[in-house]
Amino acid sequence: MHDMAFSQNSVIARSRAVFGRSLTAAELEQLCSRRSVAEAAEFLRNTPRFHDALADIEPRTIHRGQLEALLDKAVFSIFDSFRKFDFTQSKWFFRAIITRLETEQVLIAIQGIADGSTDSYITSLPPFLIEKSKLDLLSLGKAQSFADLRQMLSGTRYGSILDPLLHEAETSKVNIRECERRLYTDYYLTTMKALEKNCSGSAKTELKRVFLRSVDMKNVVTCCRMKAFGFTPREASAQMIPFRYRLNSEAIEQLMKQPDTDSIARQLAELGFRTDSTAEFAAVEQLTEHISLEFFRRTLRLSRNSSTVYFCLIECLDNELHNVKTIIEGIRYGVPAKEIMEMLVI
Amino acid sequence: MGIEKMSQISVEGSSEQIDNALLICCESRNFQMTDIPDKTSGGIEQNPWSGAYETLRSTAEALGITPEFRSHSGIAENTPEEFRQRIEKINADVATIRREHEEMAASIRELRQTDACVKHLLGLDVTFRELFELKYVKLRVGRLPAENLQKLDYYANRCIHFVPFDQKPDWVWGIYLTPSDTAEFADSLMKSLYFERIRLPDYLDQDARTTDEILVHAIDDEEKLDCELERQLSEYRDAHRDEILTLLSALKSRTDCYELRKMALISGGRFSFTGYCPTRLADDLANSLGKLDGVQVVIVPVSRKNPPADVPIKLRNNVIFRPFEMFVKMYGLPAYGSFDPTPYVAVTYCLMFGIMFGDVGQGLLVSLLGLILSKFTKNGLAPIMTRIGLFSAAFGVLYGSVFGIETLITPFFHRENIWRFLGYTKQPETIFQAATTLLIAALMIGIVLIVLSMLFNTILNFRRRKFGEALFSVNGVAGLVFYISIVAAAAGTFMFGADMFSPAYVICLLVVPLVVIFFKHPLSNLISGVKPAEKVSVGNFIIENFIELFEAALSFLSNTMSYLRIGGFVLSHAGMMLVVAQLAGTNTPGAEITVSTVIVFIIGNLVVMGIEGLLVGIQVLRLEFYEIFNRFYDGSGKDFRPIEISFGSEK
Repeated sequence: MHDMAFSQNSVIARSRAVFGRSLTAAELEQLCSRRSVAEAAEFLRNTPRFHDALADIEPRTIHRGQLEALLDKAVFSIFDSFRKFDFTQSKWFFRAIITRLETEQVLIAIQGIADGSTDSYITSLPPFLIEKSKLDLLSLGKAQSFADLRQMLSGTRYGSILDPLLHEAETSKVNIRECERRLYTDYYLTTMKALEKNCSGSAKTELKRVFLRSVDMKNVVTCCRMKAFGFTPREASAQMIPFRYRLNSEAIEQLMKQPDTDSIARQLAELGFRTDSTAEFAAVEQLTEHISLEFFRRTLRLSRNSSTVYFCLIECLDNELHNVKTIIEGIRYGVPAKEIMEMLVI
Repeated sequence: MGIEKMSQISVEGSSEQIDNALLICCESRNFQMTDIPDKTSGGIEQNPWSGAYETLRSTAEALGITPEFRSHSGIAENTPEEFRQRIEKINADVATIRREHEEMAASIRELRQTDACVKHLLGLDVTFRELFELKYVKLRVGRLPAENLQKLDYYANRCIHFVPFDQKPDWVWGIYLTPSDTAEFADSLMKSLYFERIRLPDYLDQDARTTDEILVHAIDDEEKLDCELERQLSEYRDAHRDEILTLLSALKSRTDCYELRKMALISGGRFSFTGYCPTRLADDLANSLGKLDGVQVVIVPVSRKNPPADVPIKLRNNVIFRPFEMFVKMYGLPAYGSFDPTPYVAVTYCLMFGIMFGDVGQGLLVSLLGLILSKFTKNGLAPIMTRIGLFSAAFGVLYGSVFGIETLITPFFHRENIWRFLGYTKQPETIFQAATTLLIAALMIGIVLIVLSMLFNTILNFRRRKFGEALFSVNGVAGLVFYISIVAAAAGTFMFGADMFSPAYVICLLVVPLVVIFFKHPLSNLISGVKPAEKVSVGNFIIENFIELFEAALSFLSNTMSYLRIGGFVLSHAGMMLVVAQLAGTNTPGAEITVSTVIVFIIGNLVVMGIEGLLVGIQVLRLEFYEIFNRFYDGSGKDFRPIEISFGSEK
């Protein structure tokens, strides 16, 4: 019991320490004002978060893709360090992270075969994932057809999920959206099962609430996208992740009636998803991510459950990485600093 | 001494004069501007000076000139165009030298990188010329991220052959070979794996070892040329330093003044802004502003009884107490019209620190360190160290302790009349034998400080006409009577054997004050004639007030006991120095003094000073904030932030 309490406290302390090294809004603003990827790389190299990962680079010649790959690796190494540091909670979280990354790679492989650009799979494959994954990710890149892919995935969980769709794709056009939906549904189901199995008591209740809130926000985005494609609320529900916190069918129906982001924000506030920000959000994705981020930050500071705190840290780090990548992309295309800042979720 | 009296100043005039008016206010360094509350005009135009300022600033930084403020009256009337011409000339001169310097630096960097790569290829036993002259095979030299090496297997059948020469944890240096007709494909593929190609200059056609030697010589030559360019830049900097700093100061003044327009009201060719200035300096500022054509100034002293909510606070203390303003600011500035506790903090802090850290040698050393730090740094703690060190030395004289040696000066308690007065039948040899007396003395100090704090609170509340608080609160007259009575009774009973807890004493001096505190709110309402805002049920009233009363009684006890730490630290200091003496081997009479004894003694003293000095400093501050300030002080004031032109901040 004491060991568990010690482990809990140490994971909480470590999570908060890692969070404390996050790039501040002022630092992100400074990063936005860099004029080239080289300058951005130089700037990032001097931040506590990315210093170690970028210590050996040559900023002047670094390629954007390589910089982003190194940033991915830096964040992944944080999760890996938690796995080594804490043998209890972080281990199943780590498995969930690996599953999510594997899912992304399987989808890239499908997309590559569909487009006839199978090389894109191997270039986008994060090297750090190869040794951690139970899938033979390098061989997966050699698949030139859906039949090859089906054969390579057979016997894996991805194979059993995708088999009918890949079989169908051998003779007709592949339904990538359905592949994505099935894979992510399975990912969330597996994660939920792991949560049920590995947590108990108040920690389980709290983590479930945080997890389902984040799922709700992702479902809001799906719901609004479906509306743009002319789907009905019932059809939209079928495309969503099959878990709900406060987003019942009535709420979905109401959300799909909202004409703009402001009214969606008001509707979400009525559901209890509020934001302290007074900023205007250009897209619903930015709004939901902002609501989630505020909640994760608050929970990370206040929660006393290590699993909840660690989950919030994972989400905050993902958001930070996403922000940095957005900035690098913006710099690459010469977008003014102010406009890049408006795209970020801070 | 205390809180500066403030005056509200309103400035009005023709809008052409706004920048001059703002500049005078900035230069006075005693004017805090306030936002116009009912400002309706839209955003102001783009600052016409900021572009020129930023350009010149970056040029100055490139030259290694740190911006500092200079008088710029000679160019006060220059127009933006005149500034632009002068800046362009400086920029053009600097840019020429810098361009050459940057090109040279880039060339050196490239050569170094090439050499670093060549050094990794020393295993190559053919010349580069032979390799590059191959007709049907193309080859590229460079480095590949080590983790991407495993991906190369995937391209095994794509006519790319990578030959690694050297490997570090993150990178693999080597050459890849590909047939000429697939070179374009191979290049794009290797680029997607983040292969960093290094282009070798044509003249490097020897083997790797010879190439390395050629590159080392080339780097040396270019570095010499680079030094020459740096010398030219340095000469230019020395020759134009004054001119650049003057221009920079003039531009900074204009840029900042233009930014300050956001806080002013500009409409119909007129401007108006308001702010606060210390009353004693308001006339001087008004006179300076009045010299501007068509500018009118109105001064309204701020009332102490009914000040505006946004009036800033500026503390004004003499040179002895001034450093302790830092502690007051740390807790929160006093409200306008109340009292500045800085002198009280200064005296109590120095006294308590001196008592807890009493040592002549260490005290003087702390003082000296404070003096040196004050001279070379702007650390706010340095002047405090100078003062508390002297008190520490003074108490060290009383304790007879010089760097922990207690035989150089006769301790105060060794005098016969003193130890007899303290009730000892024989002279205490060490401070530890007088521990009880010491702890009682610490408690007495605490009691005096608590009573003083309660007195302050009572007087302040009378001055603010909060009679309810002054008479019936825990820190008012009722609390004061209760506390003094219980302390006197306890002292009389336990120290002098007189039973003071008679029924009349208990009822009149202990029970009645507690009842008064219990009924504080209704009694306050009664004498002020105010009706309570909301009705409270009898049950709630009893529960709330009982808990408050219980907490107050407990706080008297805990606050008093808290001062025991004063005595505790005296003992701890003596104990730590005893350990140092034991480690150094000087605790026995006639001990031999060796080099190692001296070293251990010095290190021991430094460690004790570092650890204990810091601990005592923090503990005394804790006593100030929790036990003293809590009883009378409300740090709700806002800091006085005068507008000024400074290179330290952009506003």
